[in-house]
Amino acid sequence: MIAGFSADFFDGRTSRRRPVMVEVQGDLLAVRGEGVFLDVVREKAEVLPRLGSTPVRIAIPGGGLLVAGDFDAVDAELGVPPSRTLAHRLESHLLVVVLALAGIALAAWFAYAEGIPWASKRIAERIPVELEAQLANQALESLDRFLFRRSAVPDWRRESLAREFAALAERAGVPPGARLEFRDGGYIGANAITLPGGIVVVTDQLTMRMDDRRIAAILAHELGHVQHRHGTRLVLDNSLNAFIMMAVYGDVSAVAGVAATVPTVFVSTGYSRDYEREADAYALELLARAGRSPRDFVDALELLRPEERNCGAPEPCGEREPGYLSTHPGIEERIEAATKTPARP
Amino acid sequence: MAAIRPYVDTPDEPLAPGTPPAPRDTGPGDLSLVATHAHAFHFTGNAAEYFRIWVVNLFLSIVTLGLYSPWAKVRRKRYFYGNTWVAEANFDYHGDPVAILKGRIVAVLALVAYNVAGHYVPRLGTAIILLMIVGAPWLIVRTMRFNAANSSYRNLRFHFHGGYAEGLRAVAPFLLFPIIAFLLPPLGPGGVPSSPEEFAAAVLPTIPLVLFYPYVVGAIRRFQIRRLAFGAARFDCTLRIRPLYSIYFMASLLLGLGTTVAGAVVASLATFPALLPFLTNFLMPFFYLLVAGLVFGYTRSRVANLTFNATTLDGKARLVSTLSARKLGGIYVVNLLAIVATLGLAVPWAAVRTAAYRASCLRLECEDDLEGVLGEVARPVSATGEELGEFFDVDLSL
Repeated sequence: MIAGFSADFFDGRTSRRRPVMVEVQGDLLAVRGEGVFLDVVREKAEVLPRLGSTPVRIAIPGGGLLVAGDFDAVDAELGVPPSRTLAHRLESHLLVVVLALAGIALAAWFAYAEGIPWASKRIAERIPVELEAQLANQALESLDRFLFRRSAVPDWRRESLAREFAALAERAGVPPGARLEFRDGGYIGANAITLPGGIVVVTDQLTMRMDDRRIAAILAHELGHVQHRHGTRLVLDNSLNAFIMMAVYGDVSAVAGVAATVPTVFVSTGYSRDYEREADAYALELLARAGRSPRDFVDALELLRPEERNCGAPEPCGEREPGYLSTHPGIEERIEAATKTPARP
Repeated sequence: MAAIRPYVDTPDEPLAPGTPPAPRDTGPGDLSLVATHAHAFHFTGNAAEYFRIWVVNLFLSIVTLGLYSPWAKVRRKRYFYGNTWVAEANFDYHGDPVAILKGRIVAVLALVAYNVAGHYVPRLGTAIILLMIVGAPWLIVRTMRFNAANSSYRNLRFHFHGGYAEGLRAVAPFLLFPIIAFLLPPLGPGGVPSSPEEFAAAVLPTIPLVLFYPYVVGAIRRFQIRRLAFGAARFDCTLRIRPLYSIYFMASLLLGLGTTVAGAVVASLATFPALLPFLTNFLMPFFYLLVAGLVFGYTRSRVANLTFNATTLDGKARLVSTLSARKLGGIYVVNLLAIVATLGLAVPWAAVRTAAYRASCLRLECEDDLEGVLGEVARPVSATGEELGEFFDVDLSL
């Protein structure tokens, strides 16, 4: 058996590489090669942490360095202290890697399901309502520019719906900034939208699709968004999510960090569906408190069901898409959930 | 999995007579160096191995709420340095995780302070940006010093000699941005421009930013390399600014063309409402990654070639870089798609194959065999380890 191991010796004063043989002789490490005759106290030679299949590096007193390709030969000769190989042993243990992967997946799931919604709820509660209202006005302005057109809903209809809204809002106890607006919905068709800060927009197409009683049920749903500050929370959810992805993956490159945020569209729509369910439940509860029938809400949903031949609105058409990409749960699911809720006597 | 690059070193391989000269685009300062020996760089890391290191790093960083991340960073950098070889020797990284941790804590505190201050006093935000730009050269210099002092090859450390004033001169045109922003009326709440005047106010300060970007990129790179030393051997860089303007001009054309074509395709498909979810969730992100990957591949490869090909070491050796814009762009696009498709798990694979390609396109050419050139590189008296611990590690990669 050949004693010792071969290595490259770099003296730390020049960049010259000198192939050497290294052998333990008692308390000493004998480094021998062309023009190299070095005895090093064995204890003073420090093996640097092992990393993948990169060569072993041994720092020796006086600034010299030995670089050896064969870890096992070095270990047999020198006895590498376990602390120097701890991280490497973790990384080469398949079970550890699998468990670490599972741990990462668990942490990601926890952040998605609990951590991010919790944090965004806490942050949303601290954002002043006045600030939100200001943002809502601006958001409405830009929607007016790009999406909506002037509403043609007659004044009498506006007044009666405004009365419905005021009554429900009062019973719900939402902040006074909440108000109802009417707009021609353009390509979003029959729809109602809540902006952060409590502006609820009802489209002309919606007022033509159903009567006041059913629109009131929809307004109750929108008031659920207002009450739970879903708009602000959704924005926060997405920002937190993108921030975490950047922090986790961005250490390789900024572009990879950005790319990793792309799949968050699934996460984002997931939060959105959760908030819709929450708003549905809130609507049923508010309707019950206002002495109305949950049937109004079910009827309203039925009326929003997309018609096969006239599928112009992007949102209802999403119903036939896989659920993961929809911002709303399927109409069937929502109707079923609503009918299950026991009507209060 | 990535192709595992076989260990093929080219020790003292003499250039065959009649070898075409390397593509060079250097200024008049170019040395008349007669290269007789070439040493190819190569990368020996592999994706399976790095994946394990990455997973353990990430897991430990998560369970320690980020406190482990400096140790993870050191391990990552050691892996990439240690697997990069030229002339029968590899590189090493020596960063101290504790110093990096301190730097990160300061960076997080600064970010929080900026956000809190910006929330209550909007004007303060601009002032802080001004402060950041004045402070940026300091950060660049510190980063360069930290990285150089903690990088070694053949047991010799690199060293960065650059000073603040020179760094400030390199980024000087960017100072116009906060100055113009400061002189103009502030935007309405939320920062959304609502009138033509406000729109102009939002756009105007970015004009010098765009106009001087290639200049600043070139100036920083020149500054970084000219003040870099390996042992006692100084690097020099004769990178010229003008070709950088053509590169970024071409890149903006590429970007414009790419977004126009992508926009046209999306717009033509948008007439089918049933396709809308597919368009917004798949096709648009896909185009975004495609265009971003190609444009980045183009600028990165061209700028790296220009910079490396203008770089010499002590008048005795030079770097030659032959990155192909198309190949690097292709690598970036595939990387991005793989990262998206695997929810990020392909990150280590992407990092390894990119490093392997970049290394395979770089070589060192010298007059003599390398032992003769580098063998004389002595350690300078001043460049020792005592300066290591005190520096903040801040990665500013432009």
